[in-house]
Amino acid sequence: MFEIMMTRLHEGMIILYAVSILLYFIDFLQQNRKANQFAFWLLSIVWVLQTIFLFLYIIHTKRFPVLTIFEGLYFYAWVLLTLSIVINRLLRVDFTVFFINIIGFIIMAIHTFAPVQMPTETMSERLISELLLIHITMAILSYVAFSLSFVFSALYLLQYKLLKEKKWGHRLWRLNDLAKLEKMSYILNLVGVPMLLLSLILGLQWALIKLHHFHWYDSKIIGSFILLIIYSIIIYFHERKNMFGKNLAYLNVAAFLIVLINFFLVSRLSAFHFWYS
Amino acid sequence: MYIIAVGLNYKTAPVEIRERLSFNEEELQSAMTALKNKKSILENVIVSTCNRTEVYAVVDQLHTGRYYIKDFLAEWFRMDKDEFSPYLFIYEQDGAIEHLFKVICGLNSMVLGETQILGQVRNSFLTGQEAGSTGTIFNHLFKEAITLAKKGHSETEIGSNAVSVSYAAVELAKKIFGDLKDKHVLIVGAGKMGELAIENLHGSGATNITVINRTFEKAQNLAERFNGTAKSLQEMQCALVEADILISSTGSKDYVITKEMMDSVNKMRKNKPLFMVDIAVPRDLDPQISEAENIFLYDIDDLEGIVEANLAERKKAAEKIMMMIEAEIVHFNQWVNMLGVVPVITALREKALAIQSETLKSIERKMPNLTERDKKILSKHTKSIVNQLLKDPITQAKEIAAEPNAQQQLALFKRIFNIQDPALETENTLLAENTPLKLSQHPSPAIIQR
Repeated sequence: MFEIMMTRLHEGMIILYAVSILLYFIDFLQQNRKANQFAFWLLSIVWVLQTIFLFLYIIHTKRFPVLTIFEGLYFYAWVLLTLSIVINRLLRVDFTVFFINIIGFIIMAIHTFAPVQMPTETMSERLISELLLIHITMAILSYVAFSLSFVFSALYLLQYKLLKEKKWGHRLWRLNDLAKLEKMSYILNLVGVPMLLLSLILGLQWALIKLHHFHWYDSKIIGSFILLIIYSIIIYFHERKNMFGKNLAYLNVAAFLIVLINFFLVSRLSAFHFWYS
Repeated sequence: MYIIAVGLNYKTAPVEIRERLSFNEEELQSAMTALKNKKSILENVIVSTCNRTEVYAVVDQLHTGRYYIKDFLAEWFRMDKDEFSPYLFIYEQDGAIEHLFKVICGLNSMVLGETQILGQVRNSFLTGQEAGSTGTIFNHLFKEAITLAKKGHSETEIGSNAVSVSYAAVELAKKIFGDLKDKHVLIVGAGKMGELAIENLHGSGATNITVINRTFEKAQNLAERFNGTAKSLQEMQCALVEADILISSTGSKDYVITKEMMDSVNKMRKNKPLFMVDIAVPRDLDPQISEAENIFLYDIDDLEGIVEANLAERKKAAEKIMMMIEAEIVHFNQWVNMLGVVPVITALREKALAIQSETLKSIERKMPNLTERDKKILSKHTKSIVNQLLKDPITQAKEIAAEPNAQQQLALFKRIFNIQDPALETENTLLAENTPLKLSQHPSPAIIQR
């Protein structure tokens, strides 16, 4: 009963979320401030609802909800939405909320409309471990940082295109400067990389202690290490000033695609992340 | 009571006239006081900037108001009325209010949507308040105007983007680098345009400046003025490697910087972003340079394109603000009409309470044995009857004030309740028989006298 009620409420929330993104899209196309303000309020309502549901779920299950892919997706979407609101209020970077929430919305939609796969209690009990919870939470947070970094790189490429093609319009003036977009993307990568590294260390530690059939060449482990290396290279290029602007932004966008592949696809191929799919 | 705006601005008068009819800041307060002492002028605010001298006034009669304002201008500036009258505009009632709103929102400015005028009008209004030249009407009108202008600027894009070529170049540079403080600026050509470019960039925070010119001394002179460095033409390649911003304005007939030169420089720059502006005609920079990554090259036509696009955006925003202005005029007129209702309601209340008081005295005479408590209860309940009876008429009177034929309806209201309180006439001179409050009923078309 609780699950059915939650599902219906999620569906209602998804509609609100969709309307909000639609209004942001109208603002993006037509420079409509009223649509922007209304979209922000709707988004705030969605955030409040999401937060309430998250805490209700925590109270209901008496654990931090990251142990299944559906819980992970929800937490991922919630952190994205939270940060998009914070960034919008603190940094005033136009269009960021719109782009971040396109990702957030897709994730929420997958979470809400995919067939429900509730874990059995015994499975959850088996997985309860502080080490594992921190490993998954940090991994999701690092993915959030990479998602935001991707959004800033996408905005960079959009602004770059507008400047190069001399498309003088409200979008060019409302979008932030290239330097700021590049810097934001870089800072978020700086946040994401150590988080992913710590998450991997903790995850490996847990696996070595708990799993009997643990393989280092597991697709998930390889995928995660590839990600770590790629993002470290991006940071290195930026630090050493070997690569600038557009190329760095393209590399960051490509890296995010690997994040998505690692999150959705590689998890399914993994031998020991079987419960996490 | 009428509102009138008399003045001249860059649209109606040449600078020779404007400079003669200009108030400086120090004399503005005494000017407003002097105008207040003129016959027919009830309230006034004078706005004087380099582009306009405008007198806003509340007058008891339109023709006398017009006359005395001109008379005041002639006296103050010691000019013959005929000298400046052809350049004056006169707006009345809704026209005057609309003009004030347009002026304060920057819709009447030379640079559409500029915000400086908001501060100037606000300062004039505050000076008027200090001088005591403003009253109920202007205290409300100017506050509404200031709020409207702020709203107009915050809710639309009227003043956000550059509408001059030099400012557009700086804004564009900021779209690439954000802060210009640590950026290396290279100026090629030490002529007038180069000088203007340095001034703009220096004003926007750029301090690291290098000037290159065919004649080295000229480059040196210009660089010294901005604590910059001068380099010879031979050092161009080296300067290009270091530069973040390049402004070129030489008189050369050929390209000063070719694609080949930039290709070799780019290798050393490792594709570091470079913002290049070519303001020379014929052009100094090979347009093919822009094909390279992270090179943002713009010529004078591009910058003018930005100005045009931004002006078009501002015009769109101006249309939105015009709609806000129309709504605000209706709102203001409703408030003015409400001013007329307040004394009527007060008089009605006083009349009713007087009747209640008389009735209570009569009861006390006829029933001398009433205790203090009885008297209090009687007073409370009779007052309650009065209040309940008056509740609906008072609500209706307020509603009437917002309607288009408020005056006639209000007259009927007064007739029904036989309100002839003499205080009504003195309390609000705005309601005097010969000065009807009809701002919204007969919106006068703007009168422009040339």
